Amino acid sequence: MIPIELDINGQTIEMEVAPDLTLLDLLRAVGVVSVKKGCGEGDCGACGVLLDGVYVKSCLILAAQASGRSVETVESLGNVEHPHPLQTAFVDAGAVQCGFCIPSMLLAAKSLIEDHPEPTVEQIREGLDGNLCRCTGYVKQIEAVQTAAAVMKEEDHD
Amino acid sequence: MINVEKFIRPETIGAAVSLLKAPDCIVLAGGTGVTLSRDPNVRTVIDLSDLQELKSIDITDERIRLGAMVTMTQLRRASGLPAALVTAARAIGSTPLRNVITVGGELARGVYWNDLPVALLAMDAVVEIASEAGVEKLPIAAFLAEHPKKTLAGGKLITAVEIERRFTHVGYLKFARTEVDYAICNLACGLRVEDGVIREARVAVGAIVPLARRIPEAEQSLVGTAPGEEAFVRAAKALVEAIEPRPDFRVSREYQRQLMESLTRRVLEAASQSEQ
Repeated sequence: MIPIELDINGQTIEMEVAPDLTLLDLLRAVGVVSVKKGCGEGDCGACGVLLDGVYVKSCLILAAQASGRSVETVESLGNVEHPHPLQTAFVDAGAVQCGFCIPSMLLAAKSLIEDHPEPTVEQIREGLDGNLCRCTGYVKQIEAVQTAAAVMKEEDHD
Repeated sequence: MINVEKFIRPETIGAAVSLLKAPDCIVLAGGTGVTLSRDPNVRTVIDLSDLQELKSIDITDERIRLGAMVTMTQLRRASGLPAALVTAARAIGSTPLRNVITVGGELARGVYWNDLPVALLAMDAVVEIASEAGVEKLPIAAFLAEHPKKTLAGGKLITAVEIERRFTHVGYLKFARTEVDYAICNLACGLRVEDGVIREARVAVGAIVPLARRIPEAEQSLVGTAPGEEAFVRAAKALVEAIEPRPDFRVSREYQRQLMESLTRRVLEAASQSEQ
């Protein structure tokens, strides 16, 4: 077992983990179940998190590798009472159907808006290229990201 | 990772290479290849993420130096890099993968679909390798002469890649079923054109062969000619004749041959029209 210390959405946890435990399985084990296990091998993108602010697939990160770093999941974005502009825009645009891919896609969107505060369609497509959605045709998500980016720029939202 | 006992994050390159001498070690860079490994012989993971000196890109008019832990996203965003290098970095996986995949990992892994080694072969890059014996610099063609696992055996660690900006025109093309899929074929070329004549040429291919490599037959057919359709068609034919395509369940051999020929012409055409 390997001792690790990890910041998850502002809370520090200390625990001992098996060397082959992925960050994805750790997050789900400690109750952060917005992070989904789709394929478990780096294809589907349902397990995306921000690791030290960088958008990554948590099934391809070992828990031990994430030690000493901070993890942000969709729980930190907003909630029903105080949704993040991205969450509002996704709902308003009808970009959410089954919802399985959405927590991760919101984080991908947050990350791409940080890089491109006024993203073009091409930049959005690239920023979301690691997120498979089997319900929609990605059209509404692209619209939602554009709407959210405009709102965030106006509100100077982080 | 099933039998791993130790997870070490060395703070210096020296510490990393001295740990690497043990045969049961695995180096962790971005982790996309290592995390899901079920190799029962691996007991120690050496995580390079604290080695800041491996994370920088240095660009001058004459040379480019990429640290081994530079990510594909860093390459994608850097200004002043040859377009072919940025295109190759962009061709790899998807955003969350490019955010972690490293220059060193792309070289060390030695899988058929690697994109970056193909582009680096066409630029005559030099791979800098550290071991307890010191630092050696190996031309990338020599580095890839055998599988990287063999080349790096015995405690060797890739620390950087250096590119001398000798070629006037460089191009890179990936062909895959979708943007984020593994390549069916990727191709890169580097040309040094002077007074309207190709003085030096590099043509490299990946994915359609087990390990990225240069195709000297295509290179030789270009040297001494004027860049243009005639020369490019000849080079494409020379390339197809020189390669026995790797069996690929996605495409037939006939398709692979036609693909290589078209891509060779296209990459040479695109490179000849772009100034580096």
